[in-house]
Amino acid sequence: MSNMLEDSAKQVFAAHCGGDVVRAIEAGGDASALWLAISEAGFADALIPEAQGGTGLHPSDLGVVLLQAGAAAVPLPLGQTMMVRAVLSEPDTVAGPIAIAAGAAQTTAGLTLRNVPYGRVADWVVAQVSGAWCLLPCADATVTPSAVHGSLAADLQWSELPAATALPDRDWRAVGALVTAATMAGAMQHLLAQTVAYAGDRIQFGKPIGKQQAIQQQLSVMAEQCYAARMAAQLGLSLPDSRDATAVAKSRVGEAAAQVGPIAHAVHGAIGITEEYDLQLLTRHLIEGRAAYGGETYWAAELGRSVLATDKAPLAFVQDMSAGKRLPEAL
Amino acid sequence: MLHELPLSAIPAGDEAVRAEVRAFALAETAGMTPAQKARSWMGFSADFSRKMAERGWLGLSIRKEYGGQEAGFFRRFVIVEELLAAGAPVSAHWIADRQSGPLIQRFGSEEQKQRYLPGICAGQSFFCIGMSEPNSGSDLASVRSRAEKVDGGWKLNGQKIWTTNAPRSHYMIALVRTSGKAEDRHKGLSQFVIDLKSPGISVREIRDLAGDAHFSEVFFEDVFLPDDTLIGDEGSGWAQVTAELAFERSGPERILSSIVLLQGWLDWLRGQPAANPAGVGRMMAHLAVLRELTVAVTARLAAGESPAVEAALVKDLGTTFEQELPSQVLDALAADPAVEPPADLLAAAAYVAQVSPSYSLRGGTREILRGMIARGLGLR
Ligand SMILES: Cc1cc2nc3c(=O)[nH]c(=O)nc-3n(C[C@H](O)[C@H](O)[C@H](O)COP(=O)(O)OP(=O)(O)OC[C@H]3O[C@@H](n4cnc5c(N)ncnc54)[C@H](O)[C@@H]3O)c2cc1C
Repeated sequence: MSNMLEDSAKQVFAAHCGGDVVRAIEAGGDASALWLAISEAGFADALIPEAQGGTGLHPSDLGVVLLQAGAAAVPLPLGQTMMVRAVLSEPDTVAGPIAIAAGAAQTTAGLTLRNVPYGRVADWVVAQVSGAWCLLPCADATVTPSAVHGSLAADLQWSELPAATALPDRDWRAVGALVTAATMAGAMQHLLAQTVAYAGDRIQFGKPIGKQQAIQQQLSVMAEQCYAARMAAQLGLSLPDSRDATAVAKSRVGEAAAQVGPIAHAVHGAIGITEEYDLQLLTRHLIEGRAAYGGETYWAAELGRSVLATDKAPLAFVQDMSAGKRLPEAL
Repeated sequence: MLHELPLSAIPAGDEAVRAEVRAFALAETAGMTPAQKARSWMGFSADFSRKMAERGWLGLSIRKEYGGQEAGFFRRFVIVEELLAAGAPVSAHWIADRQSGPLIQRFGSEEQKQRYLPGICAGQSFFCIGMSEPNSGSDLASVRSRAEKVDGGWKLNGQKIWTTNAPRSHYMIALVRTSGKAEDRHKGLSQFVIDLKSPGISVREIRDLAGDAHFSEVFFEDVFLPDDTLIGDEGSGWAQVTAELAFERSGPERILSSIVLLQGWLDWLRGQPAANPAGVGRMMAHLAVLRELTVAVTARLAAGESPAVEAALVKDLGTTFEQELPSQVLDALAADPAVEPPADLLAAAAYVAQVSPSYSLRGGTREILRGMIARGLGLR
């Protein structure tokens, strides 16, 4: 099944987001050329209603783009930007990538947002300040890398409260969790292809390691987890307003990632640990993504509380959730 | 080749039967204990199967001229989901409805279809599967039961084992060697519809670790099989078995074997002050995703494809979930020795934990399925 959106995402990322580009941006390089290519392809405005000059797509349709973004380790908050732009009354006045802050804002001296995913490359950030969700410009913020080597997370600090645009009241952290689940699923899909190919090429004991049953069984487990992750992400995106569906997506994708990353590394041997080999671009994203916007246990507990608050049978609960899903349109 | 499984939906027309099936299944299972319900597709009731047929809920993929419903894969999906969620005793018609009927419709002669299919659709002919033998488990192509050509038919000698429901079934579809030697592997194997009342057949029940006797040994001594009981051409048995296993592996039953236990656990937790939300949520997230995967596989079947590798992948994920569930629930029920959960819930949990290793054996073991996935990935 060919999908124009998927093909165009593949093309854009292949042309503008190779491993060298990702490494350069992670090392502090300028991301504006990549962002320009992505916005010119129309992805950033894909969810904006047609009446407001956008493409009017549903997050479900954009799943293929986010999966490809994950596969290419795109070092920008594309999913976050798409989702936020869709609700802005004047999106034309908001240029550049938009991050979503995961934690609570500190408002004691000016404003501080800690460990914002993609904080290093964002022009805007969504945060909950004194209980209200708003969009803040990063221009006047002090940006300090806050996480491990190569991470794009940053602390953002303003000495005075910047001018904020109010956003519709919804749980924007859950939006962050949902799009993170989608890029993680895409990263896993690419890791699977990469690892299967490597197992076919790498010769030890006179034959490809992929001929060894022990390796085959590991790769089968990896494939299973990738399929589960992809389906979880698709389900979540097809129900973007359902907190339960987001909980399913983020917790299941995180659990899959906990297995997929280690198998990818185990099969690659030492080469996979190197900076030079592309594997690490994806496995680092998985580790960071698992923790971003709530981990597996947080989202599982959210879902569990929601289930226990009803008197529904377990199968009826998932059937009812699934019944509302919006299938992606073939574009 | 391993293909993508895109998000898919159950057609509205098939969803429409759900409420009626659910009400029926709940009414039929009202007096059963959780442990009885947890027998799931091992619970046998000929009476229940007859009632299913009366409502037009059997033979869903069988054509009308043979007594079927011509309703397709998704109708069966909806019905099976509701029956298993309620813990209904579906075992009597289960194998005939799921695989023997579709197999005969696809590979049988016109005369065979007229002979066997109406009884299957009426919930009156029960079937069992004669594949495994004492020395042929995963290595199914090594079967040694052998049928020799004789005047007007075949003479069968040999033995089957682990045959679910053999003493309670009318027919067995058996895979046996009809030509060549064991070394010829997939060549020279054929399938027959064996009338289990034929002279020379003896059946011995095998009791399982939970005290039930669902499976059995079946011995054949010079059993005469008329020519018209051979399915398809001589030597085409392996292709038939491969197609049959794709039906067997793809349904919602491969994720729902222990669903009754999840239900019992939730019911109990809802009345407890210290619920276990993360444990519940994790199981629910798995269930939600597995269900979407089985819907997606069913959509491929409904589109006329044969998603054998995808079905193997979903089955392995599904049985892993089915096995983790009793393990987690047993631990959760024993989380505080001062809190005593209901005895019938404990019994259901213990029962499911005891039999759950079989979930990843029956229908192809975990290792064999993973080998199929590896082949689908191009590694073999
Ligand atoms: C409840 C139940 C009901 C059943 N009902 C039926 C029925 O109705 N009809 C019927 O015909 N059969 C039935 N079976 C049998 C079932 O199909 C077999 O158990 C199954 O095919 C495995 O065969 P086996 O038990 O001989 O195990 P074996 O094949 O001996 O396997 C033992 C172990 O070795 C592993 N193994 C074997 N070969 C390989 C390999 N090449 N690579 C890696 N690992 C390998 C297996 O995965 C397994 O872990 C039933 C089984 C159960 C448990």
